[in-house]
Amino acid sequence: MIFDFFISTFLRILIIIIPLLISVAYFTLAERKVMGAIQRRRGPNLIGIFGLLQPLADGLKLLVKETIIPSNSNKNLFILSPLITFIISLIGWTIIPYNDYSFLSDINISLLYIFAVSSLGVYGIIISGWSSNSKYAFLGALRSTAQMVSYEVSIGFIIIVLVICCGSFNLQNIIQSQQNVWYFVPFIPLFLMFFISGLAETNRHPFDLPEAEAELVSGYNVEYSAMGFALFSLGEYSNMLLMSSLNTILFFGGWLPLIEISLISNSIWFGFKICIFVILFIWMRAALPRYRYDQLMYIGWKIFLPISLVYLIMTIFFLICLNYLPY
Amino acid sequence: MLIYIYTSLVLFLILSNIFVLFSQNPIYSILFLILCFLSSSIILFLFKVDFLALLYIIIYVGALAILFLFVIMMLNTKYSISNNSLLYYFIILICLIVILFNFFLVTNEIFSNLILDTFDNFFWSDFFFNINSFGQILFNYYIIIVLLAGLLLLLALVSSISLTIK
Repeated sequence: MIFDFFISTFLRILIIIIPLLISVAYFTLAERKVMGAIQRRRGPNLIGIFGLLQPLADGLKLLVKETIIPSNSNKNLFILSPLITFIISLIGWTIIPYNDYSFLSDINISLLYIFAVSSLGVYGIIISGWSSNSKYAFLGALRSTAQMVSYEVSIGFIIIVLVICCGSFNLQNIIQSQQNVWYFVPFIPLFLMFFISGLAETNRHPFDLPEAEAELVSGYNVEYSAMGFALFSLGEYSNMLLMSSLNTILFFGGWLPLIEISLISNSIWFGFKICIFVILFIWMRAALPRYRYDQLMYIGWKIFLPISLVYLIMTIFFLICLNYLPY
Repeated sequence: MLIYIYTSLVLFLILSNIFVLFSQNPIYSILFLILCFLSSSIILFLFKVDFLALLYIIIYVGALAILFLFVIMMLNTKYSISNNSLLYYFIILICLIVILFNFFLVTNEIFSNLILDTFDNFFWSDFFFNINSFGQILFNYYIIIVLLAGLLLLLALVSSISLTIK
């Protein structure tokens, strides 16, 4: 009985994780291809048809390479921290609903769960920076941790506005409450702020100061090679996918179809919306220059936090005045 | 099954607490403190108090422990406790463990049914969700206390800012 339960849970987890890892691999390929198209290059096109086997070759290269552990580093934590980053980036996918009946678990406080998981994600980075015993890695870890912590605050306020409008922390309820109109129509400024905070939260352009190759030495992962580095980048890309799926769930109606077509199932619509956000992430990287660190902190604390607070109070005011509170 | 998971988690919690006290490196003790918070939140999950468990993770692990880590990493302290005070801590720890176990044994006999019954009534009869029941009770019956707690937090905030200004 218990054995059956464990086997079925394990299979269900595998059904989510294996396509996730494949999509992460092809995310990297899509990034290089789209960037190439924007900058009028070809991008990778030699391995496989249109370079389709390139991510597999990259993975093989990283697997075969030698793992270098710095002799003065703290070895246990040095090995543990990429594992922490990778596992925590996978944990968030347990509660994402792919259709009205397909999900791993459907808990009633799933948004709080996502918030908790994203706050745990900082630990892998800060521990890796400290344990590699190098000034550059340590400073990079401090930079990216401060950035992630400060943008988490405004993300929390933005989520609370949507929760008040919907009346539930459950992602399925939030999706179903967007049957008539997607939340990005009444909340366009909120959506823009959430998207930008998501860019900063996942350490992406234009806020990718943790790995600014040109002006600063690369961030917390300078000392890592081979599989440790691969785990860090896998975690980062899966975080990006999670952020874009959150964007679609909160503002673009998740698996709700744009037009009802019987051949295309709802989960395909969900994947389509996620793809649009992935391309937006890549486009931002190709188009925008990098912010300075003080500008980044200024945007986080002095612009986004006050605006999201005021938006929260204003929304509560309107809902109470018009008697629209959903309880 | 559940009781084994629960006891192993409690043992894990006590072990990580001991490591918080006795590890030489302050960073290690903070990491074990984080393990303590995580295991206690899992224990709360087992008691079906999911909202409080997630708040534990968000507030203690996500905010407080990161600040501690920041401060200790940047100060680069070589502080470690001497053997003398180590013995002192150990005696206190053993006393606490004995007292707590006695307490558990006594309360288990007398109060367990009572506490569980009130707990169930409190959380599960009127409202289906944890978060609903917390909200209803806090904002209906204890609204003044909630406001006072908010004012206390504001006071702490303002006082820490005034310290930095000076």
